[in-house]
Amino acid sequence: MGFSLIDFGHNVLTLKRLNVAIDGTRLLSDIDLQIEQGEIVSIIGPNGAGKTTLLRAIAGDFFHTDHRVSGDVQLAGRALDQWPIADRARYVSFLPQFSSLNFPFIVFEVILMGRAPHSTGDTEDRRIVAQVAEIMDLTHLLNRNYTQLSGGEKQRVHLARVFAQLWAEQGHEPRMLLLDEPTSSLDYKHQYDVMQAIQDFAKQGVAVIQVMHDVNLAAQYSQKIVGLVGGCMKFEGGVEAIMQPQMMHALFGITVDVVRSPSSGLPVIV
Amino acid sequence: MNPIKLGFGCGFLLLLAILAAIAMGSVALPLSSVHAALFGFDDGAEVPIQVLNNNEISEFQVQVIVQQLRLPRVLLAACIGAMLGISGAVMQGLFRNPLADPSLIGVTAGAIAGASLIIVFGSADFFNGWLPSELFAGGAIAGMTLVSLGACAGGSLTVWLVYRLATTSSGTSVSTMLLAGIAITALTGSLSSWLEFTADNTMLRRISIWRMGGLDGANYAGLMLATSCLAIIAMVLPRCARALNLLLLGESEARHLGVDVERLKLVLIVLVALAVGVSVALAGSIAFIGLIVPHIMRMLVGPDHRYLLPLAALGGAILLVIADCLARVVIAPAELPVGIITAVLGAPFFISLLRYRHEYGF
Repeated sequence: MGFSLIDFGHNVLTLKRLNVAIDGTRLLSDIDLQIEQGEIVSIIGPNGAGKTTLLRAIAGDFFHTDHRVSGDVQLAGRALDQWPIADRARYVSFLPQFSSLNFPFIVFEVILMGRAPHSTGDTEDRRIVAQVAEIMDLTHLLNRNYTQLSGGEKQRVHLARVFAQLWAEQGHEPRMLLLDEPTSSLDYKHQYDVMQAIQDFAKQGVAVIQVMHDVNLAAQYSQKIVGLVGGCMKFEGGVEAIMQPQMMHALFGITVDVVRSPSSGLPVIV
Repeated sequence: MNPIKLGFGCGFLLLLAILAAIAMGSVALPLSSVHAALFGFDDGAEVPIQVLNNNEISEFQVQVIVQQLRLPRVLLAACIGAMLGISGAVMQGLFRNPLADPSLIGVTAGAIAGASLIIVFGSADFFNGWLPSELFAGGAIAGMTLVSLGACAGGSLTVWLVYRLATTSSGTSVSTMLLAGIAITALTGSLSSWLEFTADNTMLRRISIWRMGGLDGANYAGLMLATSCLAIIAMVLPRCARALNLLLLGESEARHLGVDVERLKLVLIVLVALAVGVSVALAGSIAFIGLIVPHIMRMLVGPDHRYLLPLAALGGAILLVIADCLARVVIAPAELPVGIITAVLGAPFFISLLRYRHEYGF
């Protein structure tokens, strides 16, 4: 990605000895992680490994719940809890796994909510909504009632919303996109669209952290992969290092073959 | 439907309803004399006014009826209707549930218990000089009788209790608040039942009439109180409207969009408690407006609170003004409790909308 104008290598997120527990049960143990501008990091692991917990800890969700958090989370060199909520929302956007929205907003209104942290004005906001809707293939649905959409369409609406939140360039603060299974209910075409959009964000210097179920998809589009098992980080590294049969066995307890994609040359597990 | 157009339509309808409600009653007045009584009779001559049932009454009598009896009552109905409509919309947003109702946080049940307590025990002897003596002679402070004060105290106390129960170091849980509201409602309900059980027949009748709600105690002092509350709500709520939209996504999503969720919840609960507490104190418990009006408006213009909140206020005002007018007219010269009418008016309209429910996405 050498063609970008942003100077990379600036640290966006640092986790040091992050522990999360609830009611005496440890959910995450001693997680250390560093993420830089423009990096796409995928978190993989079996069910209940703590992938979503890790993402929520990074998003600061546990300041408002009964979870006990220890360790250090720094966003752009500043402790996460020192960030005023309104400021943080301009630089960090978060896509949860499920949405409980059950009020009949139209799709346009839901995407526009992503612009709430910004005061860029109505005209600019509408332009941005139109752009992200185009990318997420939602233009024809903009006036439809959100509650009547299919699961995949709803997921695309929320993706468009979190994309709209980080859309425009805004000063020197590093932006970060947190996605919890962004492609879980999407068909192949839309999975591809989402991954392209995420890559475009990364090219602008946005750090992307995503929980992925599909290991092959993660491998195709990430610089770094983090493997979690039982709340511990089993490994962290580049795609080539991670996509190995013994790694997959350590992670999921299954035996796989790793082959090469004839077109991209990237490793694929079968 | 275009919310701006609907807003103008509702505003116009409210004005019509207010005028009609002032003209109608046990003595039906021609609109010309209503206008004259409001803005002054242009000549000093005492011309008898023909009222609709062929009787004649003097201008002075018309003036008393309009200015002292009907005007404060109709305006109070509008204010209280507006507050109940808004409270309902806010509660439904706060609980992210279109079936929520202002009574969920226990304020209505608490107010009923407070009022019953005063009706049963509230003699001058009992308070022994603690409260101003005019209260016991049937008088009022700031438009509130002793029973109203009891209702207000009961309502505030339960809301405070529910809020405390649902608040921990990590914040206020809306779902705990819902459950605590149910528990506290049951508790205060059994207190009210016990009071009714011990009450004599006169007290029982007073309690039961008070529960059904009514605006017959309206006066300018009460109107002032209600107007000030509505003014506070009208000043604060518009700033919360967008945040309330974001809250519908979920609490953590709203936070990720920059909303200070804990502060928002506190502000909204205080406003709802104020609105419902004052409404219940001045007019008893009037069911249904808080549930039905926001729902109807949401079906018409969608869930955006920037439009929904003012429209729920207008709709609530219209419904209560019409309901109160009917309450005075249906069995005139006696009156029906207004709570009966609001349900009879609102429910069929609501049911007719339910048929188109799927089109609105509920």
